[in-house]
Amino acid sequence: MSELKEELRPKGTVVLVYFFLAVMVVYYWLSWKWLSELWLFG
Amino acid sequence: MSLQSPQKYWWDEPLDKDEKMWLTVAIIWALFLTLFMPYMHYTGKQNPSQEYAKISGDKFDAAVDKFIAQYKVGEEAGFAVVAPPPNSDIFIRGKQFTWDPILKLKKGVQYKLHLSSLDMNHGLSVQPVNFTIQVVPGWDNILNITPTTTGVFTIICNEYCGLGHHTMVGRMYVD
Amino acid sequence: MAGDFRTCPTTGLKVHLPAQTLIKVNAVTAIVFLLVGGILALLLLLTRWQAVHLLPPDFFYRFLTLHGIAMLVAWIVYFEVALLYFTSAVLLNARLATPRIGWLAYILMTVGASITTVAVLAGGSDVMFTSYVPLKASPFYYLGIVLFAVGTIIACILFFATLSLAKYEKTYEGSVPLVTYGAAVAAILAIGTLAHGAIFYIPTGLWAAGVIPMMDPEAYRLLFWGFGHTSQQINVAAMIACWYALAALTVGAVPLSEKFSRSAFVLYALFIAVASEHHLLWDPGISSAHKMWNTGYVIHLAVLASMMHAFSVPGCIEVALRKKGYTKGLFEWLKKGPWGDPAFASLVFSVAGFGFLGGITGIMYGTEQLNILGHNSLRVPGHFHATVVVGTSMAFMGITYYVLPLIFQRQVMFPTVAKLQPYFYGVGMWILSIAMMFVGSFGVPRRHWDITLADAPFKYSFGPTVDLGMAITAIGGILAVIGGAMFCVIAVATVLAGKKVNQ
Repeated sequence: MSELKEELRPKGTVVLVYFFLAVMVVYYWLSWKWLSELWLFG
Repeated sequence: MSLQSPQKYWWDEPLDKDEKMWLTVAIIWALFLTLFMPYMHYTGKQNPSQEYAKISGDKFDAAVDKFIAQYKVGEEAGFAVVAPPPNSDIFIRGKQFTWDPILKLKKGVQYKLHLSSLDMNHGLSVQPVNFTIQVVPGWDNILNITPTTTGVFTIICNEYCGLGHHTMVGRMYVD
Repeated sequence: MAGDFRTCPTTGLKVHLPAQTLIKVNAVTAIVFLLVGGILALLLLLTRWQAVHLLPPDFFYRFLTLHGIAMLVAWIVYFEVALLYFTSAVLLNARLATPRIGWLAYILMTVGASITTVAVLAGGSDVMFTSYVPLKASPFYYLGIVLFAVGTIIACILFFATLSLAKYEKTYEGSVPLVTYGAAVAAILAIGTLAHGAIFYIPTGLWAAGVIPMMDPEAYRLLFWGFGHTSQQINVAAMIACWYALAALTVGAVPLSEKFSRSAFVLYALFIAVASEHHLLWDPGISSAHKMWNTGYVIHLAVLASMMHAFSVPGCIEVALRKKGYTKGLFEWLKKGPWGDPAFASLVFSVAGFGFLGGITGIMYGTEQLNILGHNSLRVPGHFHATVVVGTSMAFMGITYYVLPLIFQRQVMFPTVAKLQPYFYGVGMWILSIAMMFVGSFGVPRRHWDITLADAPFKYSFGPTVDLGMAITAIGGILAVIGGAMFCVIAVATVLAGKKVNQ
């Protein structure tokens, strides 16, 4: 898609995928936080 | 289009800069996800145990009976209540459709918990702290466990184990 | 041989008539099982909704077992077989290598699915989809699954035979289309995982028949998930192939980069079937190192592949819509998309749901330590209803709206109902998945007849939030059942009575 004109570039998708990654990072961080509040196991 | 054969030499078409950027970020994230699990084995306080052993149902049953006889302090709803000393080996026995004995533990004290089943797979789901450990017949699942909250806890079975599965509920106390 | 073909007036493709018949038969059988599974789903929902609590426990567990088999095995795999024949014979203008073998596969699958269904309904096989030993089902339960798996493997081999024949007879030029490429990855995964499944179900069935001793329960769990989880990756690959097909059919999208998308499929073929121990993360008997290597897809290379598709699928849709003139701002293309086309709406629900609901939660529950928070809770069915139902099933429903006119050569009936169908199904399933994962985070168990624990020796209440969550789960599920019923009615009515598309 290298020769795409500027107005045809998938700019919305770029925003969507980075939003997707951000949601995943936040949920990942939250999950580890919830885990750290649990009883201790080892 | 994706329903037709692509143009010749499609392999030589370079990737766009947005694709390259996203690919790079995704690779970094994949590497991070991979490394973070072993990292937490060193720094985290909640890790699966590396200790386990094969054990027959009879042997485990006998071990639990001995444990109950040693530390029994009372009875509740027909189940033995057991108060083991700190750092001792403690046992929970799963069988259709009960968890026993009832453990009385101390907050902040480590115990070596042995879990096994005399019949089916069971799921030791402790509420409301909310964690689940798999209980497998023929295997002693051994975890060093330290309760960090006090109260009355309910053990639900969350691995389907037969038609009475939903009645398989046990107790645990931490003070 | 030429008489065995018709030329499709819309696409100009040469359609091999015996292949077309096999596609029809497999797709119709898939929808029959979807109907069965959907009716069971309604009964299960109304039981887990404690205010209604419809079924007695034995029927609840029995129907839950059958719901898994009808949906996860029969509906999805029959549809995948139809897709394999479509993406090989039809898309490549080729003849199906040996239609007779296709019929053999179909008969084996159908005999197998019927035997297992009857075995479950007859009682004594209430073992859930996972059938963990020492839970014992009737030997016929395992026999049916083995026959079904063997039939599917034969269909996959027929797919590859057709690909080679098409290449030999030069029915296409250059490389196969991307959709065929994705389907080939699904077929590779299917052959590996289903062969594994068929092989380990043989000793399990022989044990159930009393011939040999039982295998170790932990070994069974390990072997089962080598089939149970990896076979879901067939659905992932087939679904993504469908996404590219739907993007092309609904908005005329062209892949942004063939190299990018195909590389992602190669990563699936190589690494996605590595992972199988997602349900064994707090089990005894397996080292942490092995669990991390296994469920981490080596170095999360299958996750990487999914993230690549997460860019290229919406990306190609966006570019196609921008080419139609919707170039304002970031999201005019999305607003002006053909939302009245049920296939497009299904596609969007499927892509977004698979990524945001199924994918993200899959990473969390599949991380070794984090799994203790969700193992066997309703978080797990919440996750896989997002992947397999919102993701795979909606993609398959979407493609059905094009299969009906192109292969069955009939106009889709009840176009207004069809327009609304993906919204009922998609919104309902999104609600159901989110609500299940929400209540699961409170520790509500899956596969449980009575979370009020009324008959238990000790009392415990999950509280009003969970009660509300369970009610919302049921409402979402009922919406989805309505959407599913709309789909079945449209499909069956169109097949039986739809107006013929002009030749």
